[in-house]
Amino acid sequence: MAKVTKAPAPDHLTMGLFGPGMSLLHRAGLGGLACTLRAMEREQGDRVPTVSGGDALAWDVTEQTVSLRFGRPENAAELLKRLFAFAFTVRKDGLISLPGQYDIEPPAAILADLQSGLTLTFLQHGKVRQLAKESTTVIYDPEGEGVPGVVVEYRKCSGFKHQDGWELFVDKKGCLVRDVMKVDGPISPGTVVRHVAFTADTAVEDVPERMLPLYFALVGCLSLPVNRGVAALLVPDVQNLLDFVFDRPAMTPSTAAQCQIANAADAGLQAQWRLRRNPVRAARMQSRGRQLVRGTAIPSCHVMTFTPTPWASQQKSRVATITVPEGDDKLLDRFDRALTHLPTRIVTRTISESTGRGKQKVTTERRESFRSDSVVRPLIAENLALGRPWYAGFRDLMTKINPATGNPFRDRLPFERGGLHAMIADDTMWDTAGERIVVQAVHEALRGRYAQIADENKKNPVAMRNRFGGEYDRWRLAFAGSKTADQFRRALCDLFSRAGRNQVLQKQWADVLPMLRQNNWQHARDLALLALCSYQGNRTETTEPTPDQE
Amino acid sequence: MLGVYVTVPVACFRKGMAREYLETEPLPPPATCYGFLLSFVGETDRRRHVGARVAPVLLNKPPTSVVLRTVWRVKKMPLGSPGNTRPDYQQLLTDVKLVVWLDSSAESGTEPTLEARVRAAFTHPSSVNRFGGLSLGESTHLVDEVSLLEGKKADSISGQVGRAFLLAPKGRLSLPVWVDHVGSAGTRYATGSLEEMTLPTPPSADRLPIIHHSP
Repeated sequence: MAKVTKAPAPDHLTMGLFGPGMSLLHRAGLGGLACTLRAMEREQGDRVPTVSGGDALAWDVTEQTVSLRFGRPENAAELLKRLFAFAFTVRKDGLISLPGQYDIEPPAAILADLQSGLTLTFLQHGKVRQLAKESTTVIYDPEGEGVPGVVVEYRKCSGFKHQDGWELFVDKKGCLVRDVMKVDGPISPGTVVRHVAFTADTAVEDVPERMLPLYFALVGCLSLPVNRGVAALLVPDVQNLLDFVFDRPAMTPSTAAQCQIANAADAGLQAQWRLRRNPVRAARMQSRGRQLVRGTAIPSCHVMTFTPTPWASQQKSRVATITVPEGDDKLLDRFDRALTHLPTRIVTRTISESTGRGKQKVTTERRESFRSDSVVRPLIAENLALGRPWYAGFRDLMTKINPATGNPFRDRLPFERGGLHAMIADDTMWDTAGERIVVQAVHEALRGRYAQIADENKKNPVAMRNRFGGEYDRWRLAFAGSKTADQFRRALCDLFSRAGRNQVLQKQWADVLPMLRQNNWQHARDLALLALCSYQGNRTETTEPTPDQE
Repeated sequence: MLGVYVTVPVACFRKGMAREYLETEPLPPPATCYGFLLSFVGETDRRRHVGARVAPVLLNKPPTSVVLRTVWRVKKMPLGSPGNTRPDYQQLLTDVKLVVWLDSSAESGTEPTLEARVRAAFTHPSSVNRFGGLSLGESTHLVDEVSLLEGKKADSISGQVGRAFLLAPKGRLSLPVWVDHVGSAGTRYATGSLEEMTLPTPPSADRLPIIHHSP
């Protein structure tokens, strides 16, 4: 029998962006690898790895490929070890640092928020990261004079799975292996062994040229926490590696407010919003001689939501995905307004703490800042991402319970009245005249009703206030409780008939009629509720809550 | 080249790596269409028609919904042991209408070709010896209508614009042309993109993904 000669080990590894089997996550990972290599070139200067110690860089990044050149096959281990050591680091303060994700390393508080996102997505299992038992705190820079910075808690990390990942890619001689490797959740979230009883046979496997990008998906993607138990993993649609090395750092949040996301669609749109505003990226686009049309070159984002489920409460499972389409100016302009008028706010509260008892009791006060997010913006973001009217489903905010707090969403709406009012006053937020006129007509009718109540209770301000509250609840229940077009039309006409003369309707009633038809009445119901929540009369009609009430 | 018109009321064409939260591709991959055609003609040897070129063309935009369903995760034997099932979410496409283009000019198997067998199945249904409900994707995703894209059927969709999965060097979709149903090492992919095309004109044969398997 003839002796089988083994093919020599490869002296390079080339990975193509559009190669067979390259999924969205693979491409994001390859983008992350390209970003890491660029960061190495930038930060290591003369010490950057070269082919066999010569002048040529040990890698080559083009629009569609990344090639690692080892010189001799047995040098693969050394190059990969250096690459992984640079790409996946842990700082002395126990914070994970991924240099491919930023041009300049962000402050510790931002790294702590990013680490929180990583430990809820890629690195959620205890076996793939070593975290301290006790929490440590780090503080954002104060937002203004006399305002304390937001405090972020994190657990110090001493190591994580990706750091040793290079060992899988090489054999004992230090040469690149050719065999397939097992893919698991920490490398590719959502990829699990199909049948645990047959792990060896039913695990997902991938070849080295696709496995290496999967390891760097940690860098190419963006993980952010929604709260302590929920996170979003944003996977950008990479189409050009040379562009992505500029795009990825621009996607990383840079302030306490930007690190706060409300849901998956919000995360995707905020990342696109940051990309559009980034001056470095804009300059790069211009320098490459491209036609700089705002938004058009912004990649789409596929965003996954991770949360515990009743059947797997010990881990955060993938439970939803949403795709934010590639940069659309109209869509991003509308989200820009939502972000301006309904932003994440840094709220300061005073906390009293007492020590000792009786005469020894000493009470001290300290001020603390925290992030308070909008409950309306996530709805708007999801609607924009799915191509629906931005106000669609507003009724849910009037009827549903916030699972994070256990309280109704509507309790939070008074804090957002000003923002909602600013949004509906903006003409660019409307697609048809009928939408705006429904809101204006309901406002006019409410103004009439409140005027009547004020007139009837001139001498009794307490009764006036109670009746204002009752009036609000009456129309809230009437609109939100409408399950059919007829019920809603009845409720709306009831309001119009009780409010007296309505100048908006008198002038533009013809524009309102299409909104009440069978195929549109649910949008009209959402608009009526939006009008109810955004109505700003005088101070006695609608009481603005104070920050302390949060 | 042959066109087959197919409608499926409810379907999920699961992404290979999505083993938790079963996401669907926008249209059936070539491997799924190939399996459907084999089932249609009653062929049980999946390697019999390797080399066939298969491309799906989606005629509409099926709405996506999410359901909570039971999935099998075998942790211990025998299969019926408690703990081997769990709930999970699955994306479903509703009212899928598509045309599957089939070209057998590059087939490596023995005659008759898959194209000839599919045509024969339409003209002489009694000659087909098959079993089970005809499905596209999972066995529960039963096909509602199958017809040859000729004559009245071709006229009925004439002028419609569909989205075809065609080979493209910079394609944004990488769909399987051969699936390793146990692990994934044997799965083979084709890179392509969704391109608009007017029906019933067939696409160029060399842009149709080719069914091939691991050595």
